[in-house]
Amino acid sequence: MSVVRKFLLNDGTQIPRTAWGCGTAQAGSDVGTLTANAVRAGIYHLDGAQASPSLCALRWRANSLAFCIFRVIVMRSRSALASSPAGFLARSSSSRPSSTVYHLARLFARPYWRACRSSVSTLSISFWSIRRVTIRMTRRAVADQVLICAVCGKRWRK
Amino acid sequence: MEEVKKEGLTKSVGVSNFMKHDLEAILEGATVVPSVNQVRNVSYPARFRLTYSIEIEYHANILEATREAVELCKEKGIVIEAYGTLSPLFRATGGLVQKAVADIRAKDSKWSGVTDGQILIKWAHAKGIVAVT
Repeated sequence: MSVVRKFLLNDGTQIPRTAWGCGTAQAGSDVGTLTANAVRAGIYHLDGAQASPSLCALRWRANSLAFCIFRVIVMRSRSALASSPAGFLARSSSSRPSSTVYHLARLFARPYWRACRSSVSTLSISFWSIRRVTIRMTRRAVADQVLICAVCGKRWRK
Repeated sequence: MEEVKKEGLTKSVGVSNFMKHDLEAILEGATVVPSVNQVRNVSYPARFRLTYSIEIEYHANILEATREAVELCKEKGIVIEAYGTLSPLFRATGGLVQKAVADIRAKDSKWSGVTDGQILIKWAHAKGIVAVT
């Protein structure tokens, strides 16, 4: 059972009322390690909206982060997911047209959803780059145990 | 995003940095009311602020546009999610927020054993705001 309390949304789903913001982590620390620690601590509402300058830090830690997230996904039961938070929060700023958001969602959310069944909503991630990293890595981890960072293209074999 | 939700790829759809006129515009033709409006929680000096985003202030100096947007969100059942909740602690060290937190700690001894960050997150929760660290 999650220790994170939740708010009820207007569509009936619940969202953890405390989220991990990667923008805070980049202030002076390794965002990858800190984010992995946050996930290990039980926080599964992740927000990476301010993480773009720290992606270079994230990608070097992406292996452990993806493994950590993958473990979380595997460990979570379907019953726990029934009350999970929003699947993702699309940032609707002017720099990201809704059509782009939609196509990205089609491209990445579907295979992720299929690979992980219903576990996509375990993570509420609003930053597309991190989302891509997470999705690609999780999908690959399921398929052939090879992780590919969608940002830098680096490959890891577990 | 409504189509994404129809396809079952997501449970909820949210928006970010939406002011009142943005919300009104999207609600005119929306079949799905956004569940969350993620905005900036800010109290550090104005030079760091984004002019296009709405901001939740920690103190009484709340922008009129912000208040209108927040009220509209409450009316529509849209949860406010605030990013940068802890930003004042490291982006404006010794600023207004830390002074306010120090005042809170001085007034009530029950806050003596908790960190500044915990107090800020508690404040956000008390306001019904999802706190992004």
